[in-house]
Amino acid sequence: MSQRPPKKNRSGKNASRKKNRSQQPRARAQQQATGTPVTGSTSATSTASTTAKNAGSTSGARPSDRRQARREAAIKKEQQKKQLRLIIGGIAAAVVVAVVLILVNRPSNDGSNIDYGDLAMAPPPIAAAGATPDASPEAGESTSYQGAFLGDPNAPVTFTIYADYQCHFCKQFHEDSYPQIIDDFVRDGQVRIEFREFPALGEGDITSDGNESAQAAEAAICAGEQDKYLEYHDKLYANFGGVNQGTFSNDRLKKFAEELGLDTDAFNECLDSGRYQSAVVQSRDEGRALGISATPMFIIDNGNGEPNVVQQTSSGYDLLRRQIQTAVETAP
Amino acid sequence: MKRLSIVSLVLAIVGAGISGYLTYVHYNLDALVCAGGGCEIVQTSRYSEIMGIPVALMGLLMFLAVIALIVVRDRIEEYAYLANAGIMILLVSSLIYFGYLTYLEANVIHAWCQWCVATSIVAVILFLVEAFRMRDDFRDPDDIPEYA
Repeated sequence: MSQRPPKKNRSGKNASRKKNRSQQPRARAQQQATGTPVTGSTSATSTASTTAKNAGSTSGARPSDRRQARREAAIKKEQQKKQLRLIIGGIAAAVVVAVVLILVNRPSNDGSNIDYGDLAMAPPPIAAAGATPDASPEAGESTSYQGAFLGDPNAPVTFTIYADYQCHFCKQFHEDSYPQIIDDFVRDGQVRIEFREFPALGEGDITSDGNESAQAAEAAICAGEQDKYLEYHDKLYANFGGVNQGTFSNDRLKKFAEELGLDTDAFNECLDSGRYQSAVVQSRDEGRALGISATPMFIIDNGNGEPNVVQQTSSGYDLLRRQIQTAVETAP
Repeated sequence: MKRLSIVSLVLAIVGAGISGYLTYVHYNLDALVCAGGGCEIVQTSRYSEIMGIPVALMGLLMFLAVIALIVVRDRIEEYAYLANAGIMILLVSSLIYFGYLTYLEANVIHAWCQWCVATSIVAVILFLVEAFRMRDDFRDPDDIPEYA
């Protein structure tokens, strides 16, 4: 059998690197002997192990090589312990950090973190009137749907929100712009917000139980019967889960009411009865008549007879803030 | 550089690339390319940020740190064990959080972002490669023969 030539190194540098490595055990042994601390390294310890094995397997190994191999093995053990302690300690710290991040970002069952403070709130008049047949728009005197209100009833500007609880831009608005509008305009009595229902994304007929957008809107009005419209409204957005995914199934809507501490018997009866179906349809149809074509859309009305219908844009809150500011400044 | 380290480096670069893209689209939603629309829902959900910092940016920083540590491990031998520990700490903590994010997608947000899932898969593979690579570090030195 012909003898193969030694494998050529790819870079041509490995030979010198190997040579350097082979010198390391000796240097480490010297360091150990003089009490100099030795910093660990994976490849260095592997080399140590190799040296030890070589020393052991070679019958003619010198005693000095054996001592050196034992020292190297001890060094490797010490380094393994050090590395293990470091990893275990670090991972424990990292787990704590990860858990803290999870707690900070955990799903909230209590709705949003909006501080309504002592702002005036009013449920939709239809719900405030109680769950009587007379309160329904068909039988009642009112011919126009009115939603829940937030803020001073005497505010010069009314900012009406048309939204669908299944619309993620509505959710985005609810989380980003809505709290800022409250802080910038509602708290000081310049603007009053009205919440109107505009179910657009639900599957099937708007009056069917399977239409999650409409059912969520009805559920919010049902919560309004117990003066909890806004709490329920916030909870719906906090539990946003995509479109027609069962997030706002009747069972879940009832569970939200329970979690908010509502009278569940009354709430369930309200939702099951479907008594606000026509109110939701009316809210949507009136919105359409006013030019609402998507969600979320808003009507900024300062009483000058020319309500401004605006849409949430990619520029976010800034444009909306300027539009509201203009309405406040030009209010008659 | 050893073969497994190269695999780790490539995976970390892929992870950084995807996280970098997700960080970019977090601020420029129009640039988001996504099948099914789930990415948009996930990217605009309240879980896409922690205290105002995009989760995608955190992922990007994690992968960049892993890349740096892999390079340090290869170049500076005396810091290799520290780099190894750092890599494992980063990967374990990020795997916990990636697991949590995947749970959120499945059970809370009810929408899937393919890019986010891809990042999680890359992190899992990277962890497995690193764990496999590190087994040598903890081989029992007692297999070294004792001498009289």
